[in-house]
Amino acid sequence: MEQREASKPRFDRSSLPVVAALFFVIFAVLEGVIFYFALQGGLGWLMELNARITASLSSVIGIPVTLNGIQITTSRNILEIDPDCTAIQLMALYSALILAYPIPWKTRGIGLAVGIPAIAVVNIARLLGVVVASVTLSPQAFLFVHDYLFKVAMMLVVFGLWGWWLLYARRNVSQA
Amino acid sequence: MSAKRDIAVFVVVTLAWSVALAAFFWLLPKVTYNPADALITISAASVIMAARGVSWRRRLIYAAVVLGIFLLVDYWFLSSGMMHAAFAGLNAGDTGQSVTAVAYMVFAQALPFVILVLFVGRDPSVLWRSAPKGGADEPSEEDRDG
Repeated sequence: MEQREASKPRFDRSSLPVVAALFFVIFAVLEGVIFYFALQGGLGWLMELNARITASLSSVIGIPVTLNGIQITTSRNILEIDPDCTAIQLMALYSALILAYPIPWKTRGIGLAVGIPAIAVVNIARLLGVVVASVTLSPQAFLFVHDYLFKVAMMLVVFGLWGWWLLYARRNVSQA
Repeated sequence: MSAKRDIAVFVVVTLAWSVALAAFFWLLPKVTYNPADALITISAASVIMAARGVSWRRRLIYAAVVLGIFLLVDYWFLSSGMMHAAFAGLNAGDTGQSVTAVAYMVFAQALPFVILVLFVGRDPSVLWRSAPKGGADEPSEEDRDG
């Protein structure tokens, strides 16, 4: 009986400061690893993959572009995919949030398996939106959309996925 | 009101708050903060301010904390010259300065989420559901049970 009590997932208000602290530490480690790889050029494949998918989808929706490595050339300008454009930091933020909660690994695994691909897909949609904005908007409006609107939107997507997972995890834990 | 409609209202109010807070930041002197990282704080503060299931007092406290800490640290980091040195060092491949730059980015990106974890607690529905009568500062019965 005691063993069953001890193994029951603990997920209450008193554990929140620990969750917050754990999140901070996990994110710091992930961010350090990302920067290490970025500085070593280890994220090149991810940037190229994002560029290739975005260029392909641009052609599908009728916007002719030329792809050269991580550069996408539209009729009006050249867009370059850098490590920030891959949303890898948002994935690290989301992963750190999920991993910090003291609940079953299966629930955390489901959160990661759903959330990370979702962020990747939304990011491709964002990159496609950047291409569309680059050929349709004025340079100032394009900068606003790229630098501000899409950044806030991506953060709200991460908040939304975290909220969805927290609801899912809560149901899961209360059933345990 | 259905849950879907509650969530839709919450999303619209969050966006409205993000516009209002972006305007507030736009009015601040640009030398006191980093606009790109301020957007993460603005997004988190918008979510906090739009949380219908939480009292206004608690919302204001948490939003003030996240905005205040970000602006204070950012101002100190910029005005001390560490911001420019760290990011110049990062671009030049200086290991010590790179660590400082990454530490700053960890702070700027993680702070809003740390505050949100504490604000949301274990029930994200406090963000969109209507506040119960008699105030919403206290945790629900279910929350107390853990």
